[in-house]
Amino acid sequence: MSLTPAPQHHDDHLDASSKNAAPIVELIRIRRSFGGLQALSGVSLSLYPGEVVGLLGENGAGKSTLVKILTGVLEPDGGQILVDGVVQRISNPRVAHDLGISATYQEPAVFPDLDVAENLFAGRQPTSHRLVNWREMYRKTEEVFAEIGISLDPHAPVYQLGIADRQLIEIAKSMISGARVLILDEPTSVLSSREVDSLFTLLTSLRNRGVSLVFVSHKLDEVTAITDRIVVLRDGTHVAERATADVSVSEMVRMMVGREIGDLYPTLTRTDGEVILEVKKLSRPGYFQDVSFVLRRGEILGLAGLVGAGRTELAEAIFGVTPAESGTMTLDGMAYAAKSPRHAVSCGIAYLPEDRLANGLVMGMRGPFNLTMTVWGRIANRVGRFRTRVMYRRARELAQRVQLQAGRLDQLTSSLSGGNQQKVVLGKWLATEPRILILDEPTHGIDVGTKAEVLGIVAKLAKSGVSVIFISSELEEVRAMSTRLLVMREGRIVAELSTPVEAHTILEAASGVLSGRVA
Amino acid sequence: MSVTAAMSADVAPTTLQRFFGRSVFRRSDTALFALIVLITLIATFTLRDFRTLSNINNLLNTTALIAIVAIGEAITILARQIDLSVGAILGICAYLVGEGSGHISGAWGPVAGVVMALGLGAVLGLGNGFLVDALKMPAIIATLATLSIYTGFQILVNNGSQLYLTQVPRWLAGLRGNAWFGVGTFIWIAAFCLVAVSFILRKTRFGRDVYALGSNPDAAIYLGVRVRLRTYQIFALCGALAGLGGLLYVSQFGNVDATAGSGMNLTVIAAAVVGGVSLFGGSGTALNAVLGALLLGEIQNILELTRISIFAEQTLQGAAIVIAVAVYAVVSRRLRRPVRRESSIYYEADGALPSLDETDNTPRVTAND
Repeated sequence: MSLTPAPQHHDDHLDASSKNAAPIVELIRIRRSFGGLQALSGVSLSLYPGEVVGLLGENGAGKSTLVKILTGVLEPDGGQILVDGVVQRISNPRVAHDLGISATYQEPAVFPDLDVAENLFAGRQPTSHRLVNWREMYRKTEEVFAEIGISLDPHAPVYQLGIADRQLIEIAKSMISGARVLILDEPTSVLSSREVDSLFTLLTSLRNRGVSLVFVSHKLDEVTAITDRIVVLRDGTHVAERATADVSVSEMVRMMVGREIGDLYPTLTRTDGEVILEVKKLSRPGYFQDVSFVLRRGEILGLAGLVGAGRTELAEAIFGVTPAESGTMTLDGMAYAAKSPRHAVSCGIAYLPEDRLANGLVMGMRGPFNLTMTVWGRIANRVGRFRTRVMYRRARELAQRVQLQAGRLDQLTSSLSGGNQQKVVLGKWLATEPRILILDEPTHGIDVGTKAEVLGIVAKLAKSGVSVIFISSELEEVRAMSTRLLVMREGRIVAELSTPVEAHTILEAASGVLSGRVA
Repeated sequence: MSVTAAMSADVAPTTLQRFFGRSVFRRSDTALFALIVLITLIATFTLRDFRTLSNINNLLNTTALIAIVAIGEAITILARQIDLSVGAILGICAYLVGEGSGHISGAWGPVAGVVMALGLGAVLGLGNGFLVDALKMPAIIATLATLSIYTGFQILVNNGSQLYLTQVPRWLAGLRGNAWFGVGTFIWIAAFCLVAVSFILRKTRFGRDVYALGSNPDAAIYLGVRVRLRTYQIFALCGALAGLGGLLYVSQFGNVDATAGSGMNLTVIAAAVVGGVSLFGGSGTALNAVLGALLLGEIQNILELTRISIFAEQTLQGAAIVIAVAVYAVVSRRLRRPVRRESSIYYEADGALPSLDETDNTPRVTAND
């Protein structure tokens, strides 16, 4: 079995040899925009054989756009892609595959019913006389596994395997198809630390074989451990490129964050109100563990952390979607058992989910119906007749509170922009007159103008005495919007920070560089 | 550092692991087979009528007929499709082939009959494929519609008449009673279908594509599986086997009217599912469908022999299906639970990476330092 390229047998220092080698892939001044938003403005990147490149940047910095362009999912608006020095147009994933560029994602796309070997060869099974040659398939699989050091049974059905092993299958699959460039997009976010160690052993072995690896991750300690070189993107531009050995984690953070904050964020009024909600030792094994904190009247409590840190699950536990398995909560000093969302709403809690499309809105309905959905019971009269006129009046009031233009109110919700949709969700929950408002990534995917409006509304609500739990993965936002800040990491609260706080302090805590309470 | 050196005998998958990995697929088969044997033994010792030669023949012939159609149904289910129109296809083929082959005499008669049955069935199956592929209809809706359409055809071609055994050629009428080497013709045909379809599913690209499409359709499309072609092939094959079932039906029941095959749809789907073909596609074999047919055929036969009223018979047969599917669901859920392992990557004695301990905040060492 020939795995391209031929393994390069250098013993220790790869840097010297790989820098001299010609790059496999060169991206030259790549540009790409979505609507009016410039996602990438002139990014250049060279990938050399036998090297691991860390691709860093905040959410929205353009990392995933760059990965999609490399793998043929998106095409650039401008710039050139050179593979082995020849200009190529990667118009679809198949072209990328044929050029030897492959990628693995957080959730591997495997065939659960088929066995390990067939997953490696799916769609391309070796044949002899037009019949599938199983013996050859198992032989090749064992050969590849031996070469890169994986000990999976080629005959085991994949449904038996955990997510880490499925990821190994994806990696082995790309080796079988002769990949020379392998992009790993947040490969460790679903792995335990032991599994991460194993993955790194495999990646090191691939690098020694001359494969060019791109490692996309928010976890900076892992970036330091595995990469040879880092490339930092910020707002769609290439801001830094350094040898990993020469940069510290805090420097990485500074390069990633780097920008000034404008007037995007409202000024917050700080209050020292009485405790409304107290959470004690709340746990749901596998998601969050021993979470304790208090929420005061009129404060905005920021909840920072990386994707997968357990913030959404915690919010869902407080709102009663998926209750915690142990721990207690008190609301106004009385025991509060989050039994169901309905119960939570009746206790004055509202929750704006992360995925407003799936959980927040009925797309086929118009604004007034969506806005008043949470209070339909109150709009109907005693015999159950739905008083449409009352609904429209309520809807107009709410639209005003969330600054939704009158013209937009009557549109089908599906035709509204992301920002206006988010205003509708916000308005819908304000209709319940909540005392506690949990916002999960409330500005995700909405434009800057609307974002400022939404954040302004949140600040106004807090001023009027509503307590807000503000979950956001955007560092700038969460630090500017919180009067107090909790940082979660791997299901635990690892730091409580009082604002103002430097963005890099948050990131360091979230990625595990800094631990302990710095209150 | 050379990773190949880490490959050593002690970390290679053991025979035991390999055996376990493979046997999982077979465990539901063996359990079902044991159940069939058990029921057979009980029936043999308790029911005098059961152990008569004529009853055994009757049982096996009925089972063979169900099995052939169920094998076709299993192919569609494996590909995460379904065909609800097999009963109507069977009925049309039974009538038209039964009547048509009467006009062809001589040695070519049987060949022409079989080709006609397979071909007509395949054409009707292609109609299903067309609705699913070109009109993007979900198979359950498309074949529900064709079930109605084909049943209409059936009534039309029958034109109120019935086909009697005396009207069909002698080879066809005698198919049921004939035997080669002491084994009935029906059983030979069913066995041939089982072997042929098993071979196709296991050894051809088509067969593997069926499993890939059933297991993860999106990933299959992404890998370049020719979904359109496969859709037509799958439904055509299912239709062809239903057509062949029609041929056997003529010989088995002797008279074909406009309701021929009307109860067949649910029976064959039940046979496939009871036998262990996953309704969600991707998992199961032709043998599963045959074992399921054998179990259902046996239950039906026993209920007939114990002279339970026809109403109770239907209910008990349904209950048997519910029990079998429920047991299968429990077993397969247990089997499907992911197995967590320590690690599937060989560790090297010396060059292991520094561990990423959560509380450790000393600077990391890069792997190639």
